[in-house]
Amino acid sequence: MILPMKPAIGGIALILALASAQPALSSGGGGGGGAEMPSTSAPAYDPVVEYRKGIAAFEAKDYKKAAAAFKHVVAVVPTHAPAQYLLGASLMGQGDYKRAIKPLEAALKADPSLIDAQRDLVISYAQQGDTAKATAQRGAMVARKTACAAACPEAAQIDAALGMIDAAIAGAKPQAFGPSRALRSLASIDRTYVDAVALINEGRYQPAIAMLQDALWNAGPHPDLLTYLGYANRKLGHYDTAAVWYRTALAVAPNHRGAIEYYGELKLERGDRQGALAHLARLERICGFGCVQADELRAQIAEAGQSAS
Amino acid sequence: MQIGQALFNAPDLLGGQAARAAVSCASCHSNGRRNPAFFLAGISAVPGSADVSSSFFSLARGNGRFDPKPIPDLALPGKVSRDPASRALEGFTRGLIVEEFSGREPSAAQLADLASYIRAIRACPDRLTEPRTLASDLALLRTTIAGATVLLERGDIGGAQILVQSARFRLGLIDERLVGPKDKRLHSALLDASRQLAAAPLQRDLLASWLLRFERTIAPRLARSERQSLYDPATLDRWLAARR
Repeated sequence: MILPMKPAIGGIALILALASAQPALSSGGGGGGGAEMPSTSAPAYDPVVEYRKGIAAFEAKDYKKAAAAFKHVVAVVPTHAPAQYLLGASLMGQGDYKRAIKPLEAALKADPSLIDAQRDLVISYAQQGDTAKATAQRGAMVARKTACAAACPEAAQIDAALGMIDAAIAGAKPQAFGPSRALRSLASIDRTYVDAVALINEGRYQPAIAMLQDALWNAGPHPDLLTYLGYANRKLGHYDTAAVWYRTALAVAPNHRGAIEYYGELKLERGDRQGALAHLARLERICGFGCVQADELRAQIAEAGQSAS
Repeated sequence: MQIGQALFNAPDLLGGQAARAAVSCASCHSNGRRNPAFFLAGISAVPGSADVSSSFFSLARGNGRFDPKPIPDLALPGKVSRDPASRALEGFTRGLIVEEFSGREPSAAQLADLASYIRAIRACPDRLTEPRTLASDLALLRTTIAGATVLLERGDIGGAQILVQSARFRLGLIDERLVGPKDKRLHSALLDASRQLAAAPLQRDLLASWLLRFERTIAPRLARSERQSLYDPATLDRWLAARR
């Protein structure tokens, strides 16, 4: 069975050198290029670049610089859990537990599975003397441990977090904070992009989502990753989640062709034809020299119109 | 053969990820030869290589292994017979388009055109590389419009659409090489020309009049801007140096 290659985005950083010479042939030719880097249309701060700066500073224990960079990220992408968490951790690194609470809460809201965020939130509450909230969050961590029943992959991490939480509630000075995972700044997401698209083309949406979410830690809120998170969730029927990812991608890169197209397709699937048409109009405005994203969305809108009539 | 060359350079001939990244046959096979600079992490091991059996491009050929191969030079004899009588090249090309790169089913005539072009690819005896120039891009633009016209004569609307899209893409490639401070109005003119191509009904006389208008109004201005564009090797060197 040949599956249609639907999931794709125009922001791929394909390296087709802007060469001034190419292999000789008696007739002309050549080609390639034309791919727009999505982050070129980002707001004043490029959140992807700022995220990388933040990671480098955090690893160098320059928490002030790290916090400044992560603030620039969350100003554009408040739902990016890694950036919110690392902002909180950077503020904790400066001893500013009071200001760490808000981004840690935001991180946990964006991704309730973040054990590190929950641990550091309890520590920050405890450091601020907010015993009630610290105890409540500790209870949530205990519930997580119970649900895990020592059998889940995070069992050891939960146990370690509970140990730190109990020490903090008992009044001990926090000994460590920050992510349990190793961070490494990704200069390029191409490999992740290729692997995730391959999984999606194979219909393996959950592993693709796990891969893309993992990449968000190292690459930051790259619009290609965010758009594919939207796409994979949409294919699983998680429309609301998909819409959030698409909107986040467009917050980072308002002219991201793939995000505009796929979000338009989502609207079409949900019966919002006018919304899809607005996305098509936007693509046609952006793609002055044509683009497959506009062609695909146009075809889908026409097809939906024929099915409806 | 010119229609084959036009299709060879048309991103929309391929589908899926290739079309979305504006990759055409010529992206890997520059001038029908090989592009030693082609590199995509996860697809290439080294520049000039590609794993075309990755599910990234197509599930049909996905083999679950990372096994990039050097991109072949189509001027050299390959594993597929070029004998027109065998039509092996046509069958192989169809497999590449449909199965390897998720493109739409090409017509028999399109495959014959592509095969004619590929059979004609030769190394130049006097030079190893061909400079990329405004003239070569304009020549390809003319070939593409001419190809679309012939395909319309044949009644191949789908093929003509692929080539009109390719012509717009070519205008974009020309546009992105204009980096001169006085090129603003030329950018607008190219954009208008592209939008006119998109808006016009697919008719031979309209394509011909579009090309005539382009030749009269835009091509001369492009020629005057070439020295300040990235087609000029010295300008390109300075432009790249400023971005390193």
